[in-house]
Amino acid sequence: MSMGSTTGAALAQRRGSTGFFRVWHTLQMPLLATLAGLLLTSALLLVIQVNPLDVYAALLRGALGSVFGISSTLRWATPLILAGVAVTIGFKAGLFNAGLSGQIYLGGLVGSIIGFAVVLPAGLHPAVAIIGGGLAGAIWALIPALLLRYFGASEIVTSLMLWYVAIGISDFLVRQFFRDPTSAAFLMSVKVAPDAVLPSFFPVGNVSVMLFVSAGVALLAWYLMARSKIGYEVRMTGANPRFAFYAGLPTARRLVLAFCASGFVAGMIGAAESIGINQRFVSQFDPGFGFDGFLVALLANGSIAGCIPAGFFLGILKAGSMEIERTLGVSKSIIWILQGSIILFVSAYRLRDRINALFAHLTRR
Amino acid sequence: MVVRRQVPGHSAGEVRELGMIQPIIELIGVTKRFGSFVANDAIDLRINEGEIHAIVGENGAGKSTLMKTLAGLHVPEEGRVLLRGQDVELRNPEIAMSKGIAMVHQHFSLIDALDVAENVVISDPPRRFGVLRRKVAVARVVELSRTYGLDVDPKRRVAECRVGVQQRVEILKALYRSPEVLILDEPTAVLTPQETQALIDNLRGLREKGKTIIFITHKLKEVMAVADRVTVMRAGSVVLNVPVAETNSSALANAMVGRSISVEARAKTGQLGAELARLEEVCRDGTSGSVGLDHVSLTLRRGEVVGIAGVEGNGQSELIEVITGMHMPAAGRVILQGEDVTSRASPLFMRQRGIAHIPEDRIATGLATTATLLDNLITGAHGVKPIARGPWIDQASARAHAQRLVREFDVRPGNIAADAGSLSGGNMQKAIIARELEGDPQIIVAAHPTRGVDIGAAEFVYSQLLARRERACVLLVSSDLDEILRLSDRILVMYRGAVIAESDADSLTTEQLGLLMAGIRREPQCVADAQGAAL
Repeated sequence: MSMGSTTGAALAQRRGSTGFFRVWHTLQMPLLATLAGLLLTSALLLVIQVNPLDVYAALLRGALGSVFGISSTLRWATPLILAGVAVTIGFKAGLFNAGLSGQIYLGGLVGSIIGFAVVLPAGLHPAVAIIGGGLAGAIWALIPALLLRYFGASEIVTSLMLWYVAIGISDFLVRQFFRDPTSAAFLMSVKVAPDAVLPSFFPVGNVSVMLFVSAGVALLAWYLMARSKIGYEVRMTGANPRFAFYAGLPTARRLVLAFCASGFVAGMIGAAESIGINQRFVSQFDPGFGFDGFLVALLANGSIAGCIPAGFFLGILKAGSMEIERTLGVSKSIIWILQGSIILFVSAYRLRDRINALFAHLTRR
Repeated sequence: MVVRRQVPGHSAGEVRELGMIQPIIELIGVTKRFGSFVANDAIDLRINEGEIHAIVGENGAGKSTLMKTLAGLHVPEEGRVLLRGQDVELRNPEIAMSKGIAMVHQHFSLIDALDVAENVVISDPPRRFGVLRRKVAVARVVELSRTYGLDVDPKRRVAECRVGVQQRVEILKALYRSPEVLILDEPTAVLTPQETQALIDNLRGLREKGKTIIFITHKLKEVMAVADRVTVMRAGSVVLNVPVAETNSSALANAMVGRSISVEARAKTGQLGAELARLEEVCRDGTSGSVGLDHVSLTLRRGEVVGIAGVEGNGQSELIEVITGMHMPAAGRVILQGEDVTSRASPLFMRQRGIAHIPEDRIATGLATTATLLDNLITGAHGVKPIARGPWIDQASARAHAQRLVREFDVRPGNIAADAGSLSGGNMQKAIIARELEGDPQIIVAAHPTRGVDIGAAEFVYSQLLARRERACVLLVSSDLDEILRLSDRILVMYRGAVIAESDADSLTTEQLGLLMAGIRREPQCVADAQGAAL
């Protein structure tokens, strides 16, 4: 499970190059994969006799062509950056947090409960809700982490299964105790207190200060991973667990910590969506951040800080997809095809790296 | 099809003795570059028909590159390759094969799940309607095996064969295509002494059948034992090409490293100090099919090198795992400086108590190959000052630390930002040793420290280990008898998980050790008597 192993950056270092070439090697994979994804999608569009250029123009117009479009892009980039960071923290430790969505739900539940059931000073209230949501996600991630540590159970399976449990728990609690009686059609909680709502800084739309928190968390996580002793131990455990054990590093504790950190970031997403966007807990509010997080992480190419641009890129796709449907009559599912094919090409590229590495190994000396 | 130009009525051996030597392969000015790196620099080389030709040189001298050129795996930028006086272009392995050149690579390319016969015929299987004719395949392998005296069981699955047998299968696989020239890349690196002897006999047998054999090796003893002619390479060039009869080990060693080194010097026993560690009646199960430990007891004292000899897989790895805390014993006690630590043993604990570990598997255990050399060199030191600064790693100190180790242990290339996996095997080993010898360890557990390492680097490793003996104990595990005999003050022989003999190094010969490793236990006194009687 060492997803971040043969990264572009590592390749650049291996070739001992610096400056321009290093930047190119880091960006090469995401750029080429995106280009290939665009080409494949274009081919599909041509089959249904739609001009791909029209589609991509509509995409950019929808995402960046207006104040509303930009606000929409920023709104989506906010959770996507965090989702990518959560996944990449796992990758660094050699772990695969497939249950991101479960941690997001419980983070949303706890964040919204703090929002409507706790009285706090205005400035502090959203911060406490976000941190509370993060802790809920961390605790939810602790379960698969401990199952992995003590029983060797695959964290992929256990965290994924706990996703369903998380949906059940949060829906049950909301139905039993916190349901908004005025809403019969949808299962949702009562509204959070007005002072708990994340403040917005944009003239239109749902862009809150959480955008800066997301970017800040990404930079902080990047710095901790790169420069702290614990981050070093997490990275070495992820790079080669047997080496880390042999070298006397506290591998078990580091794995648990990294998985909980991933859960914490996921929990923050849920809390922010609840108190920032919906202003309450809405049943099944996650539109698939768990899955999107992997796309962001793959595009970011194993770099935590790289999740910021990758998150923005995916935000553009999400924000622009509505415009495609509205103006061209092409289903916005085309964006799903684009996303899927980019993942495909990222994976293919990694495979190429593996093949190259194998070839280099065989022909060495 | 190449027609053999053999003199009628004479065997290949007689042809050689009569001096009617034919050059079968001639390289003229062959140059191979990788980017700006010149791996082979205008190589001129003649390989005579029917000879065993050894190629020696340090890691990275260009031996494998040159042989891969002959096998069609590399196409040289310049120069000519002549086969029986005719220019040939060996553009790919299939062409080389059709011209009668086959190569057995250092890393086996057998398919574990298939049986021996299927592996041997894989390049051109006998088929009917696209289905393998098993009986024909088995019959051909039996015939091949008989012709060349390479004993294998054609119906056994490769996964069930020992390494020495797997290598015979590799050689048969190469011989299946009836090559004139057989190239072997470090064939003895993975073999036990007995298997090495068997291989040497096999090579002689092949020569008698008229085959030309080129083999790459690090072990000069093998060159002296079996080769007719030897070529020494250094830094991409041929520096020496002589008949073996006209040279000796030390001349070859000096030519390889380009300076004078002493091959035979064995440092004398140091001053024995306090007991550092003791194992008492340690037992444990083996992992995945290997033997466990059967009531193993041993004592390690400061100032000595304790050698553990034995054919690989007789419990040495399991013993190391117990001493280094990587595996708990099922029974028995581990005592460090008088304190029973059996229940507390872990790699971290043992390291804190001053036990360093040079592991047998560099890539799987000794390094994180996808992390940078810097990251690999600071492990352990990252937790203490000056690299640790509060919860942070001080980047400048970490770099300085890594640079110093790279310089002191001559790790090449010394780019600490490059992945550790990009280093050659010998340099990986130097990096590991550099890291492990930091911080003045009390006990240094060294498993196969020079495996796959060239002679210059091996000398360096030996000198480093011996230099530590004053202050520490070195526990050396090796299947290389010369290494054990040269470094050890005391030797223990392991067989099927038990220590079956213990002796001072001075009172053991290679032959006695070889017998003990094969599980033939005789009192040293009896052996001496027997030898006395024989004389």
